[in-house]
Amino acid sequence: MKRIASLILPAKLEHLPAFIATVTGAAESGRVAPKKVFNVELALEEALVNIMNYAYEGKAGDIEVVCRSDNREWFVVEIIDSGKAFDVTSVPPPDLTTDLSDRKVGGLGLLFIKRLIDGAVYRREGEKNVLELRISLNS
Amino acid sequence: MQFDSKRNNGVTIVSVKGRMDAVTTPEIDGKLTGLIDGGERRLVVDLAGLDYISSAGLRSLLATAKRLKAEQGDMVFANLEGHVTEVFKISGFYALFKVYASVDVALGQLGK
Repeated sequence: MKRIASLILPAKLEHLPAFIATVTGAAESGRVAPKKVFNVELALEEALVNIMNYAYEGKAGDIEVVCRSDNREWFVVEIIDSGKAFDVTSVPPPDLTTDLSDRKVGGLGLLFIKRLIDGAVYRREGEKNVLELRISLNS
Repeated sequence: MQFDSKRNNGVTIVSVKGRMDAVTTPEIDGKLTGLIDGGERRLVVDLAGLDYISSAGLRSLLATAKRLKAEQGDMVFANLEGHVTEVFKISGFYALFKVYASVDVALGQLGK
């Protein structure tokens, strides 16, 4: 797989637009369909904001994103942090059937990652969390 | 991001354009809270021109709606577009909220 783009910046909300611009730009040049670029953007924001808010528990740390494409089947984004171990793919989806009074305000971000991305795979690599988002170029 | 509000026969029409993401939502959330603090109870939220919404934006809308409901108010939506429509669907927001094709239709239906 050819590496298209990568970016390392502190895990701070102010850097969210830079991460988004890097990955959506890579998705476009990596032949991801325009409608799917929206999905990538949303899933990416949710994954990044989760790391920014929770992974480093108030301490400083970085996030690295790496984008790859084989130009035939898959565009892949890896999101890497060195915060506490957390498998975002293991979180159960929120209950979407409750009425307004009982509806919980959290959990939707993780639902978007699962629903909008063709494959979300988590692995712990040494002291790092790696979330791999796989986007099909053909579906 | 652009936020406007105007009153029409006891209903406040709020227009949010641009993006409701983790960066822009706190400002929008503050303005919505300000409207409720100022006594507004019936809101039509016009999302024409809203290009993008993430869970941060949805959380703000949900929290606003919950607060309005607790105060015997109501909040409905109008003019959802492409990406925002899909996000509302996935989130189950169509089951939680009334969504209308235009502000005029929403004004006619609000509180019925």
